Amino acid sequence: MIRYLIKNNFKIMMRSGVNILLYIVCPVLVSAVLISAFSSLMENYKPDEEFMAKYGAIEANFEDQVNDNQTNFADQTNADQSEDADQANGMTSSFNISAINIEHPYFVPAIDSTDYYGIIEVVYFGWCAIVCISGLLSSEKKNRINDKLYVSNLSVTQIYLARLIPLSITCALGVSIAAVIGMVFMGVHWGNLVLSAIVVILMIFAASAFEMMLYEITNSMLVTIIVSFAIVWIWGFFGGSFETYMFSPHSMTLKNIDPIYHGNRALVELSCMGHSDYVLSSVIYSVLMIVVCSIVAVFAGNVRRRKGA
Amino acid sequence: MDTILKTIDLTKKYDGRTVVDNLNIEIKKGEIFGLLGPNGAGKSTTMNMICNIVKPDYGTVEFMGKDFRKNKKELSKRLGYIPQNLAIHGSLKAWENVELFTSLYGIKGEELKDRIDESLEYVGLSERRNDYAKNFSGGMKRRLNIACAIGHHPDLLIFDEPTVGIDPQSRNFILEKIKESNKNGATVIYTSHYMEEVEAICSRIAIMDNGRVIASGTSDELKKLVVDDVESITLEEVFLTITGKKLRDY
Repeated sequence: MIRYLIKNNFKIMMRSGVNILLYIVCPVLVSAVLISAFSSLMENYKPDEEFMAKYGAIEANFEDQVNDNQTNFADQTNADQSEDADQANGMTSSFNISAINIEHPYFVPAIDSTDYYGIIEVVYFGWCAIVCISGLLSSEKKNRINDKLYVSNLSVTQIYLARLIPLSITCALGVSIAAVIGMVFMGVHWGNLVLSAIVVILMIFAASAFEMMLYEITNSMLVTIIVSFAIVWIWGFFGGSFETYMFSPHSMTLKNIDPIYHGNRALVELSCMGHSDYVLSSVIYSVLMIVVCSIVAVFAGNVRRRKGA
Repeated sequence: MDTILKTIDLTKKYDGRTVVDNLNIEIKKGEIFGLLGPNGAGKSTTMNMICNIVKPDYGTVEFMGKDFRKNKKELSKRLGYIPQNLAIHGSLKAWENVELFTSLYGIKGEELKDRIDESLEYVGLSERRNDYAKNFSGGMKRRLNIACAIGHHPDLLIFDEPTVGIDPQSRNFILEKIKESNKNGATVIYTSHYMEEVEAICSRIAIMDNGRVIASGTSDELKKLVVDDVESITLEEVFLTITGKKLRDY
């Protein structure tokens, strides 16, 4: 029943020049500016190509110990290697080495500004989804199209879904095009494309549901845009959309309650490592947002409908 | 004639002010029923309650012999609503607008395509089916507004001031189409501020004021409430006599 409504709402959004500007042109431009502006800062995050590791020697028996962070040179061959390394570094090794522990620190492979901002800014604009549907909602309100939808006995849930689905698809299409432009023309690497796509698409659905919920509550496009942008800006501020989350001094508690942080970190780590522990938390966060915000939005819509507003 | 729609003690209050007050009207199948009233008389609220857009505080609407609110799913398909506002999307083409609103009643596929063609043909917009609604003139938008409400072949058509702000040709066209729809079997409820329109097309007229029907009947019956010689007075003079000349600033 709502297939044609979804289709035509989708057409309305796709025909808006503002959407092309906001979801394709803006992410590419902002990415390009930030990549250029922060390229030297991000260089500092890269490890030196050659670096010297120091190690200490402890008195111990020949033990065969291997754990996550330590390797014990437990045989003569390894002991010889460590002695050679000592001499090469100009150190004299006068004591009898029975065991040498070398720490293998956990390095996150470095990400450069191209990949970081090429990914993060595309995602950030995806969080500004509400603009995508503002033309449609304004037209519906101005022309009292909702009245006609109610006369046809559509439920509030059906009307909500007929907005949410095309909104999320349009927004996802826009940022996907921006991402492809970034990949082709700026050399942005997304790493694991499948997981990245899942994370981004779910985040866009979550953003759409969250902002649609605000609209259903406020019943004002202007207020919704102001409140949404303010909240998304705060989330982006703590989540690494402007300053990289690696360098930001904000507390982990703030970051952990921030949906943008989970998404950003998952995508950045997917880009540079190909995997991320944050993929799961980002997916869970997004799904929870979609479900909770949708329930609240439908409830608010039903309350307004009952009042006859 | 059978009754197609009946309101029983319909009441609605906004902010303590009674907008519709125990309204009882009965519309017979096959008639064109005119609802007149000054601004703030309660016409639009009545229409909204009849169409299930607004919930009444008290009272019921019986449509096709059943409580409309309790049988919405079944009965909403039998109702066509042409609102005063142009309930169309400017950034959709004419046929897409008709597709959107006709599909809401469960019509799909080839049948939907046929209904779109039929509706656009009916309002004389077949040639402009691929044009965006935002590029239409006021009269064309009004006609498209009608096309969007008739595709599902409703038994009852509700026109809420459908001729506001359009040229005489478009107005004449719309009035002719309303009469044609009625001849084809549709019952019509029609509200307007243009008395000559109401007089020309309506078989029965009710005049509302302060949320109540204060007079009803045929045009001649209403005139006889004021003078004996019905030829010596217009419906507008009757209306002003009954509702008074005081300005209504709502």
